[in-house]
Formats: sequence, structure tokens, C-alpha cells
Amino acid sequence: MSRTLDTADDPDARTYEYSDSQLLTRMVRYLLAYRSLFLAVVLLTLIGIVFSVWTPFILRHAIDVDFPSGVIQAVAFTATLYIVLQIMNWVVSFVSGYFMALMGQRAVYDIRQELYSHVQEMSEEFHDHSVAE
Amino acid sequence: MGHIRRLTGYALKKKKLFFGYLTSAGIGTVFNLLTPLVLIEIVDVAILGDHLELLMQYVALFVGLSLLFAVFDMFGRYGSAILSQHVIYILREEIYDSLMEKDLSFYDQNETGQLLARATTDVSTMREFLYWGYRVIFIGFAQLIGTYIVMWSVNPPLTVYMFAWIPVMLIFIYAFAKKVRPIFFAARQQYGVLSSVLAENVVGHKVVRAYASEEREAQRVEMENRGFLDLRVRASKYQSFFQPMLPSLISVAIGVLIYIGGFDFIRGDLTYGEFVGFVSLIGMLVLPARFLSWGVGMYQRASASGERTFYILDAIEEVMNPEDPVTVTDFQGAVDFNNISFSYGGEGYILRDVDLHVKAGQIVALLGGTGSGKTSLVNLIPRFYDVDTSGKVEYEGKAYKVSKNKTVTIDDREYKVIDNQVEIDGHLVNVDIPGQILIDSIDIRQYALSDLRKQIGMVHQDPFLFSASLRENISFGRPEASEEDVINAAKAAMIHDFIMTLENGYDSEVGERGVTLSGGQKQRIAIARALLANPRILILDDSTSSVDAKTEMLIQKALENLMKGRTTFIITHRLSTVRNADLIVMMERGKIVEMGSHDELIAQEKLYHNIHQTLTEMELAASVAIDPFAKSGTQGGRANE
Repeated sequence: MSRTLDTADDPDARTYEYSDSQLLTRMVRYLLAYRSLFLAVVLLTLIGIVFSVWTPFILRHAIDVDFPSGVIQAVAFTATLYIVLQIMNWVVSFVSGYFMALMGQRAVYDIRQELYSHVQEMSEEFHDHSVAE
Repeated sequence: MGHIRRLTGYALKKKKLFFGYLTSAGIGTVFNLLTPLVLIEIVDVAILGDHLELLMQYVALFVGLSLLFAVFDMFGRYGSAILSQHVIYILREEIYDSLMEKDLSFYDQNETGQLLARATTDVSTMREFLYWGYRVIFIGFAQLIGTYIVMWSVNPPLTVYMFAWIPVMLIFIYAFAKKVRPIFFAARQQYGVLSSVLAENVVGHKVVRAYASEEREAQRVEMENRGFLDLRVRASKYQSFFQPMLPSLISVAIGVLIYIGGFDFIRGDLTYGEFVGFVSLIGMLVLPARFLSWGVGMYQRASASGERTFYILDAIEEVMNPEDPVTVTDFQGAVDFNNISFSYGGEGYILRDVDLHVKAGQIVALLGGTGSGKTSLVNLIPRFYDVDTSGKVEYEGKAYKVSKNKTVTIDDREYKVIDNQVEIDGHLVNVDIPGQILIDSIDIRQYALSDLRKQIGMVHQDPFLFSASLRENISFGRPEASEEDVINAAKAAMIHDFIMTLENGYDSEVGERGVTLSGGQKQRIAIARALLANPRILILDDSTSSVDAKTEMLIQKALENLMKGRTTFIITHRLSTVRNADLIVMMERGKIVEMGSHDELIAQEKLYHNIHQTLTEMELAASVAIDPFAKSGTQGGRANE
């Protein structure tokens, strides 16, 4: 019984009464209920991208500049910068992943609550013609 | 452990495929591991060594190796996909066969929903392991070992530094398995709870509404939904923490490599190409860490699923087909219960010393309250359960079972059975020999199960209909029956007229997406089904009659048609049926208390006499209350059925 709720992808069960774009906008509306979380996720994702793009440039700096210079302190500095950047990148993706899950799960919770109360209010007619489970 | 080994046994049924795809995956991994070596040559020889003319060759080699890796990896995936589907096909078939062979006591002990979950969800979990598990674990190890070998061939000192990262990866795999998975598991459990609460509320919404308990139920749903949310969020938190940790750890390793490599480079112990190759090799360690962590999880889940699935396959059938069944030529349908007893799973007697002899074609009405054993009695005829095969000792009014090692336990004391006698406190007590059920004077355990059951038809009070057309439902026992036979059966079951009013007639689908049938209609479909199967022995469960007068009349007529010329056991409180029975059997607490024809029992003025009077009064009252215009024949139309 628990699986049927999970695999809702039965093509027969879809009526195509709504277009995909309509469905998407409607779903996004549930996410927009958590505006500040949404903004935080966008911001953190941007920071994450900056870190990711920056990383190879540091590597290039090490190979092109520090290695031939022969100055071990310069190599150490670049290596440290690289490591710090990676750790920060980890923190950023942790926080943004957490916020994203928080937002998504809350939205799913809301939809489930709404669906449940709606189904409870529907007439007997509706229940007779729908597959339970 | 053992369950996975058993699952592997299934995979090994296709040895060539199994080892073929693992070999393919292994070869692919080797090609993948060779690419950093080409990278080193490109940097050191082609670019820095001023041999740019070699660049094209190296690049071609690099691309070629990557392509070969892709091709072999693809074959690996393809092979494992085919293998997993094959194994799952075999497993599903085995589960289904095994479920069909199980006797009723197995279904009494296991919830149907659980069994369904095993046949679907658990099998999917095992397929996932068959598809991904072996390959992922194999590739994980191969790539881990291979990467270090390649590293060693390039630069042994730096490889030693890289060994320091193995414990780090192990800690990661361990932490993920210990910390994250249990929460995901808890979340899945909670999902099951939430699903069943929701399902109960949707399926049972009439009850919820009827008792005006929407508010309370809504709170219950909210609570479980919130519980699921909390667990999911907690799981996601850990996941978000651990998921990016692995690539970050690897990147930190690269950072340290910049320092150590830079140091070596300055001293002249390392070339540019080797450095670049090492960076690429470290990147390759992400895969084994991830694959092994993933593989461990799949292993655990598949093992649990395997345990549950193999439980079904291993459950021993209590009702067995005889090794040398008698061949049946002419079934008459005489049934003899020779002093049988039946205890459910060995505990307490449900039926005791039942001695009942029914001639072919006789109608037997069984009367008795709940727990009187009448349903158990009829379930013994098609061997849904078997009668007790061990002897029985009666002592001080109580019956005790003789166990397999020939002892009897009375009040925690064991007594030995010697020469079919037991000595209890100085008294010699005889052991009762176990009884048997005979059909046409042959023990039913000597018939092949299919031969026996083909001769027995059952109609329940609330019969089960399949989500198929009415025709298919009626011809379930005889799918090859002609259209004419189906219609004749339906006519005799008094359901033909109703079917003709339906838009699609006999092709109408039954079920939630098709026509909705009332209890009385379902019962008559089931009667038609039994009529068409044409068994010699009939078992009818008609214990409660909560239908209107017209339906009652239709069912009555249908039953009469059905019972004609067949040995019939009918559980009923319908007076007209009871009166017409050749034999009325009154049961109480697993024993027959009165037996005889209607006139005989009335004359005895005992239990049956009293019950008959009560039932007569009840029926009179009911006919007045339910259908005051029954005689006019215009009330209780089709819509009410």
C-alpha cells in the first residue's frame, strides 16, 4: 500500500487536463510560501558556483607561477587557499542542500495536508468512482 | 549474509552472464585507470618535451581509452540488467507458486498486505542489488586497488602520502552507514505509517464520517505527516552534510598534494606531468568511496528483503499433495467424517470427534454460533486444512494431543505412550486413533489436490470477484466454457436478466473502474461460477441474510438450482433452506450436539426445536419490518438490490 503513493507515475492515471507548465507554476507556488529560504538557496548556490569556478584557477596558479618560482612559501600559501576554499565550498553546499530539503519537504507536507482535507470533504460520489489505496 | 549468498546462487544460474558482465566491468575499469598515464605523457613528452607532433597520437590514445572504457562499462551494465531481470523473473514465479501452494493457515498467520509487499517491494530491492550491487562493489574495489597501483608506478613516495587517505574514506563510509542510513530507514518506516493512516482514512472515509470523527482523524493524519516531515528534514540534513563531504575531502587531498608536490617539484623529484596525473588519479578515488558506500547500503537492504522473501519460499506446506494420488473416474460425492478432530496449529481443539456421514446428493444444513466450528468443518473438505494426524488422549473430560515423539503432556507432566495406551496415575487410558475424511470411501489425502478441489464448489456470503469481465468471472473455473454454457449458468443463478440490463452485458468489467455490484448480485455471480464449474460437492456459506425480500427470493431460487443433484453443505440461518435439508447438524464448541432431519429434531424438542422457534419469530418480524409490501411484488426493485 505504501508503494502506490510513491509511484504515482501510472500513465493511465493522468488525465492531461492540465498542461505541464500549468502544473509546474502551481507547484512552484508551494515553494514560494518559503520565500526567505528560497532566496537563501539561490544566494548560496551562486556562491557555490563562484567557489567551483575559482578552484581550477588556483591550481593553474600553483602550476604556472608557484612551482617554477621555487618559493616554497608561495606554494604553501596557494595550497592553503585551495584547502580553505574547498572547506568553505563544503559548508556552502551543506547549508544550501539543507535549506533546499527543508523547503521541499515542507511544501510536500503542505500539499499532503491540503490533499487530505480536500479528499475528506469530497462527496461520496467521488469516492465511489476513484480507486482507493 | 546467508541471504545474499542465496541470492547470488540465483545469479550463478546464469554463470556466463554473471562472470561475463563482471569481467567486462573489470576491463572497463582498467582502461579508465590508464587514462591518467596518457595525461602524464601528454604533459611531459608532448607539451614540455617539445614533441608536439606526438600530441595527436596521445590525444587519440586518450580518447580511445575513454571510449573503450565506455563500451565495456556499457556491456557491464547491459549484462547486469539482463541478469537481474532474469533472476527476478525466476524469483517472482517461485514466490507466486509458493503462495498458491500454501494452505490457509499460512494466510491466517501472515497478513495479505505484507505478503503483497514482499512479492513487489522486496523483489524490487533485490533487483536493485542484482543490477547495481555486485557491479558497484566489484568496480569499487577494482578501481581502489587499481588507482593505487597506477599511482605507485608513477611516484612511490607520493603514493605513500595517498595511503593516508584510505582511513579517511573508511571513516566516511562507516559514518554514512551508521549515521545517515538509520534516519533514512526511520523515515521510510514513518512513511509506511503515514501511508496506512492515509489509506485507512480514504478507504474507511464512510466510517470516519458516520462517526463524525473527521476532526480527530485529521489530527492523527497531521501528526503522522508532521512526524514524517521532521524525519525527512533530519535525514536531509545529514545527507547534505555527508554528500558533499567526500568530494571536498578529495579536494583537500589535492590541496595537500599542491604543497607536497610543489616541494618535490622544486627539489626536482616530480615532473609537471606526474603532478597533473596525480591530481587526476586522486579524483578517481571519489568513485570507489562512493560506490563502496552505496554498495554497503544496497547489501544491507537486499539482505533484509532476501530474508523476508526466502521466508515465504521456505515456509513448509502443511497440506501436501500425495506422492501417489488415486485416479478419479467417477466422482459421486459421498462424504464421511470418521471421528475426526482438528486443532489449529497444534493448540486447542477446534473440532472434536466429529462423526458425520453424508450420502451423495444429500443436503446438509450446518447450524451453530460463531466459534462452533462449522466453517472449520467445511474448510476441511477441500483440504484447506488437514485433520489431526496424531492420536488423542481423553482424561478427566479434557482432550490431550499425542506429540510426534509419542508422549502426552498433561499439567506439565509428560507421559509415554506404550502400545496405544498411556498410564496416568495408575490408570490405563486408551489413545484415540486419529480420524479421517473420506469422499466416495477414499481418504481425501489420497486424491491429487487439483482433482479433489475441482470436484468441490464454494460460494461465500461475500464472494471475491476479479477485476475482469462478468463472463470471465463466471467462467473462472472453466475458462473454455461456451457462451451458451455461461448464459445458462447465469440464468440458473437468476442473474442473467440483470446482466442484460447492463450496457456491455457479459463484457461489463467488475471492480472500481467498472460496474458496482451489490452483495446479492455478487453472490449470484458466484453461484453462476459454481454452477458452470459443475462440482459434485458444494459448500455454501450463507450465514447472514441481510438482503431485501426480492433479492432473498432470487438467491433462494438460484441456490435451489445450484444444489440440485449435488452433495451440499450449507451454513445458513434461512429457515426454508434448513427445513428442506436432508440432514441438519447442530454444532457447538467444535462438537456435533444434535443431528437429524427437520421432523426428527422437532420431535426431540431440544436445541433445534428452540432455535427453530426463535428463527421463525425473527423472520416474521423481519419480513414485516423490512418489506411490508412483499406480497404485492412491486417493491424492492432492481435499484435496491
